Amino acid sequence: MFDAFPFDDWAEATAEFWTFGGEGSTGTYIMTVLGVAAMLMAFVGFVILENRKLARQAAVLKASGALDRPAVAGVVTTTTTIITTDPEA
Amino acid sequence: MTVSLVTSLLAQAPTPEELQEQISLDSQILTEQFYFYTVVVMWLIHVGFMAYEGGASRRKNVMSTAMKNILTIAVVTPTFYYFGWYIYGCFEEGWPKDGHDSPTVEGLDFLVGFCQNTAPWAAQMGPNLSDHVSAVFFLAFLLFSWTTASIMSGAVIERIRLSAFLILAALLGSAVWIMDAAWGWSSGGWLVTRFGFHDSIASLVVHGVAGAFALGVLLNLGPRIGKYRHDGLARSFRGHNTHLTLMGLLLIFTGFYGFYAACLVIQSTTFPGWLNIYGSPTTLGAIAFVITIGFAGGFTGGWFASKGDPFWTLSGGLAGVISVSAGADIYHPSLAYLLAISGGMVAVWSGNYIEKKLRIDDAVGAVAVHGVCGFYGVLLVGIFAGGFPTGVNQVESSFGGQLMGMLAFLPLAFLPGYVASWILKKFNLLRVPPEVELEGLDLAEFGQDFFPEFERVPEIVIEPDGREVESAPVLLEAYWQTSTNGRAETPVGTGERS
Repeated sequence: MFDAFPFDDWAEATAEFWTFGGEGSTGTYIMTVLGVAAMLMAFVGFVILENRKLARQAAVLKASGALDRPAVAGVVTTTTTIITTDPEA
Repeated sequence: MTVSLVTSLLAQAPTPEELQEQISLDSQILTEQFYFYTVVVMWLIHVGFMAYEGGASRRKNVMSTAMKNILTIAVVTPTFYYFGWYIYGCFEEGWPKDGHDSPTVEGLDFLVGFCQNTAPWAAQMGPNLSDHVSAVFFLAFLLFSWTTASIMSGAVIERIRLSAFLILAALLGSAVWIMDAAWGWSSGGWLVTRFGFHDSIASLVVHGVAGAFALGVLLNLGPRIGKYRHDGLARSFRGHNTHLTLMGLLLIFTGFYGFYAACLVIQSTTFPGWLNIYGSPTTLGAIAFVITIGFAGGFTGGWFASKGDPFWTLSGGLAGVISVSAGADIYHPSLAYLLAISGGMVAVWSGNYIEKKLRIDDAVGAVAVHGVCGFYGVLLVGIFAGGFPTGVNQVESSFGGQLMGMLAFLPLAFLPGYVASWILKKFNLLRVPPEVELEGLDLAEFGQDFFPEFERVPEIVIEPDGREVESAPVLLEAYWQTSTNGRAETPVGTGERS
């Protein structure tokens, strides 16, 4: 009754075709190593790319003079939120 | 003719063995579906955290805040797949003393070899027609991992580097919390089998640990520019959309029902009914009682302790649930209600203490709500549920056992957070430059304002005496007092008093 659909036969056939092999196969180990390498490279990329963006924007902001302390200490006249964009970005 | 028909029908009828096999398969598939849909519901926790933190941030930081939550998924998922799940499978006894055959705990024969099944090259960690449960069980734990990272996420908004956060999120989500889960949130965990440690729905193992980790990070990260005055008194930054924050909290609450359900074990042909993570019998209804009345109690406690503050009222609901989660499989609803009221109050009081006395700038009160109440919840089990036979070897829960878990998990969580953030700080990779923080992270990270159709109005800061003043002069004054490497002059955790 339950065998009307040839699940077991098909399952056996498909189980032999997992991408690059099954449990503990060389293909699986290689895919694992490649995945871990991609993961680690992503971390390095996140750090480097963000660092570049932040350093560039901080330099632009400093160069703009918008954040400089006024000549007369204690007098602050800024009335709007500071927005400075990098013209080269 | 008749005989031949009956014979033919009998020949087609399934044998008892075939029926048993089919029922077993159906049971596994139902379990598979159950965990799958808990994962779907748990996604709402992360939608909620994103909305909650986005609303609590100032307009200039909204997208950088949201991006943290989104990229949490990008880093915690692969790290948890490649080594997080392996830690859970192998370190239940503290150390995998029997290698890949671990854990080998008496009475837990069904767990033998769980370690080797969690390696990324194991048959259970890929497409497997003979295993319907392992993959979805892994996914449920993965969602718990995202949650721990999201808990830390809110505390550090508006000044942490995205990349630093992602490194810390991977450490917390794929190493720290899952190690404590192996020790105290598994049927073979050494804290469970030796001390009867009981934290059934993860007060401490998820919330408390994430809060303690966040505290370690905050000590190195420092407060946002302008958060504290020279005399040490705290200013408040007004989030750009409180409604979004409150909606986010409600989404988190919705997701919590999936979280609670995923903390239980069900498979009808293997176990007689619902089990908690330790293998002790319970019901889905019992924990649904506690979570719902826990929210009610938490809202009430939070409302009264904060004198009706909307943010703390809703955070009180979260704190209330966290406070009763450890004993959610045991507590009577009335007891849970009372304990949750106290939890909501503890969150408000401890949140104010952390902000105003310790002078630690936790932007959303995560250390108080998750950290303090997570530890509080486990302590409550020692007081109100001592003697409960926990786990398969039925070690009685006790105040001492709960204390043992707290003493193990506090350093396990706090130290990695503190040390990792200290290292990032030494390399100047923890915090954004002060100029960028002042201008807002969104322009530096993404080069755009995310509300272009709305007029930009002056940002407001609330002084300790309740006065609302324009923030630009206040923040510039604070900026001028910062050193060039971005570290605030006011020492974190002490505050400078004139």
